[in-house]
Amino acid sequence: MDGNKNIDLLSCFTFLLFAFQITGLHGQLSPRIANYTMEIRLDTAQKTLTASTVMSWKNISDQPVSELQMHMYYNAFRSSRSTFMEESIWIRGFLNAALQDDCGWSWSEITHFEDASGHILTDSLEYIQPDDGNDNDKTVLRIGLAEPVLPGQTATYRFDWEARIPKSMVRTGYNREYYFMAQWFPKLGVYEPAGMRYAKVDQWNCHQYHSTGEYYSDFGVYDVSITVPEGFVVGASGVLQERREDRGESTWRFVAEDVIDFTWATSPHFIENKYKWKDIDITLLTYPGHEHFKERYFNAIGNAFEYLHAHVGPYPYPVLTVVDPPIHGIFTGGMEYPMLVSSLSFCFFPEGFKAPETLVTHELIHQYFMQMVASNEQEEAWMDEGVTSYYEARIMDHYGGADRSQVKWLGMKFGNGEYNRYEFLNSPNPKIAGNDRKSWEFKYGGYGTIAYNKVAMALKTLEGLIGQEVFDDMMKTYFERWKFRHPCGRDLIEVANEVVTKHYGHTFGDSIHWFFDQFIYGTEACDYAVASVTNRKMLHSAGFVNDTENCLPLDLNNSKEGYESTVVVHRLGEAWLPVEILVKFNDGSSVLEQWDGKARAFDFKYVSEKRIVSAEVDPFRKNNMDCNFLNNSFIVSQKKNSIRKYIYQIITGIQHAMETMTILI
Amino acid sequence: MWAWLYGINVLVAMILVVPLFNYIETSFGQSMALERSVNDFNFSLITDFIREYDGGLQLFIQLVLSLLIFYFMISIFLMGGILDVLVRNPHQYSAGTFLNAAVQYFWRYTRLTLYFLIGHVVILLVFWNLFSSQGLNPLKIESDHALIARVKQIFPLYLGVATTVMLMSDYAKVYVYRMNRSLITIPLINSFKHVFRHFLNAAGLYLVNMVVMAFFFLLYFLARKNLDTRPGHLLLLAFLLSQLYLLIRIGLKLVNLRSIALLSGMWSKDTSDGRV
Repeated sequence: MDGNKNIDLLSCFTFLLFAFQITGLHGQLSPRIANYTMEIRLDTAQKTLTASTVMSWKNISDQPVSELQMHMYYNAFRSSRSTFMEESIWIRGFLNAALQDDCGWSWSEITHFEDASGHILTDSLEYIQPDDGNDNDKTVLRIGLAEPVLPGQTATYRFDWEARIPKSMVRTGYNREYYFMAQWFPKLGVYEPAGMRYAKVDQWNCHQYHSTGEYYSDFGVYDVSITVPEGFVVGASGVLQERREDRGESTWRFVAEDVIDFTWATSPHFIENKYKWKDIDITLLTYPGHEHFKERYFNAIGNAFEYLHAHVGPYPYPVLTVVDPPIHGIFTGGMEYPMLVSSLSFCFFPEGFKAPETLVTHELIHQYFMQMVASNEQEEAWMDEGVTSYYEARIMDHYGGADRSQVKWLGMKFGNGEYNRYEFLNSPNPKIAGNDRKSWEFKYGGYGTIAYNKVAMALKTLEGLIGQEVFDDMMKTYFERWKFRHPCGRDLIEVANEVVTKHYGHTFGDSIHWFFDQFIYGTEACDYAVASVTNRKMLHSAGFVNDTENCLPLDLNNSKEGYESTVVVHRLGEAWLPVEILVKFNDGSSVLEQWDGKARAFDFKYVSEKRIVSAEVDPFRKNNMDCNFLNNSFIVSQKKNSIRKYIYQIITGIQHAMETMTILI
Repeated sequence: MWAWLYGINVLVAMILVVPLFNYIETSFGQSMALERSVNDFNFSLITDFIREYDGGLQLFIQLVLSLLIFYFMISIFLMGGILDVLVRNPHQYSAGTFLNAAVQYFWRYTRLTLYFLIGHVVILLVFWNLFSSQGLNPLKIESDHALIARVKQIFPLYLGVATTVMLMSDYAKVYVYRMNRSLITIPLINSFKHVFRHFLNAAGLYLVNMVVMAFFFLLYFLARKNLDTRPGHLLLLAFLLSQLYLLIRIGLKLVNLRSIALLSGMWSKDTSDGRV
């Protein structure tokens, strides 16, 4: 009885709140299609959540909608036969232990669902499996509506739900007293009218929860009150509105506006560290013993914000919370949610090992690509992971040095961009797939290397091709045009075509589709090589040069002053793109040649008094898709000293290794 | 003998020079990458090399491994001769006597090496089990500090035990030579007994020898660190420096064995019947 009264009061409040939110009386950034007001109670003894939610949803199509589809993420960990678990082969070794010890499985159930007119819809709830037909997967729920939602109408629903929290699961769950609540509540999919992204008809886009690819949702306002045991510190998406203590419990209320998701984390061991970058309040939640990472995190965050503001656009939210999980929460590290990201550090990480900086920078960039520019990660992971990896490398290399931003330790060093290239090219099969598939369709591997690393390299190559200024113009245009909307790959390419054509006309062809077709969607390798460099002394003409009567003799000792020099360049890979060739001569002069890179082989000839000393394809390393830098250059006189030095290093190394081995005798 | 041992090391290593030179020359000898990566750690060029020239690299690594094993076996072979010189301390060095002793003791020192290798593996496994007994699954670890604390407790202990085993193996070598039995069990047991009986002396001597070795290593490290080999002419100096250090290492190894022979000789004189 009391519960019903509470729901009635809650509904009156939230109806008013929604009216206020949707009419956009205060600085609305997004269309606010899906809005949630939630009252959550965490039971740390039972590892459960009990919640009531009031949800409003606006039909933006021109047709009535008679059903809703919702994600029930926690059902991915309901049994070993869910689609998520079937696909999570790579991580089962770790997960199994957690699952066996404490029955770490989870579930999520809606116990009561009603619309604003009082129709009880609980009986109409039905699990569906739109992706793979796996009957054991209960991660998508269909709700048949009693009254269709008319075009332009906003409908409100109330529902109660419960969930058991998974133990130490990927991206979410609890372990010991640490809780990371991500992709945790029943959440609407995205209703895509015909013409939006790739939709041919009006449809719900609500995929099952897969082990790769994260989420895709509509923008809205989240007003979430979280009740936890007293002493627990809560960090969440949004701005903390109030905190109440009552009978051994504390309730934290957060409001997050114009976001696509809501995530929170709690632990009694969290230490709050505060930092302010311009008007943005940053909170770092870390475990004891990790406080010394505070400065590293704040420096990295400041750098990332500074760079993104200058090169992409402003961060419009007032807060950012960073969670640095404990070691037993390792699988929740490196995640991105609106206004809340998680990183990862271990107390033994040396200063020169920049994993914490890299992770926090990466997740912060996701605030732009996927949170604000809300592409569909499950269908086109490259649009956020690839773009984010590109900016991660750019920011890390800009502030830390292109040859050392990732690791500078024990004489070894490499930059973030270099590491991306290594990850891609040294993967078991860099040609395994293109980015033309959904995240779960990378069945035979390659999701990380293709959607993340390869795209980062491809975009760096595009930046090299069109110049950083034009590239920034392209991405700023893309960001401005598509923030708080849902673009698809085609939309990004259209912006690229528009901006590149604006700056270069038809220098790169009628469009720049060819670049994306090859390097984003295609699988072919790119490799240019200087095959040979020759300098031939020019000879006087010999033979029947002037007529058929007089044979001019060939005099090898009497050559002309000068050389006929040739550089031959090969295209060894299938993919092509315009390249530059730097040719240097013995008098110190040089010439930078341009080649469209299409032919299988091409030569550059010079007739002059000078000789070529070296030639190099792509001397400024613009083409990061080139899979072999070693064959990019050719030097006429071999540097024997360099070979000697290698030999000296290797031989003495082996000598000492041999001697060291004798301690075992 | 000292120069002899050094010469063998150099000869074995020299086997690699020609194939290595050809390999580098043909794989990327004409590339400017060679120049760029020789003086600096260039991650992209190194990883490209490993990926693109993997076939040749695998062959080279196999060759190096074969040579390491070859040198290891040669060192076992030479041990009999070395100890013959160091324990007997003859007035005149004879290559024939040296080689005779080497042949005579080869099989015994091979077995001894095998036993101690097994001993090292067992110790490593014991300590690994000790380290991992509380679990290494990160999901089951309270904090990374606990993990580091475990390393800090166990690693020095392991280092101490492993060093003691190495110390004992050096004494065992001397005892195997002195007692000259085809079965090495009795010399091995005797050496253990004596080392434990005079552990402070043995450990003290070993410590002194190790400190001297560490001192020379430090000298070499500092000299090498401050020697900029980018200018070509200093390359030869760097090479000579490393050869000098190698020579010192071999010399110190001999000094260590000689000092052990002397100390253990004193212990045997202390016993009533003069037996070792």
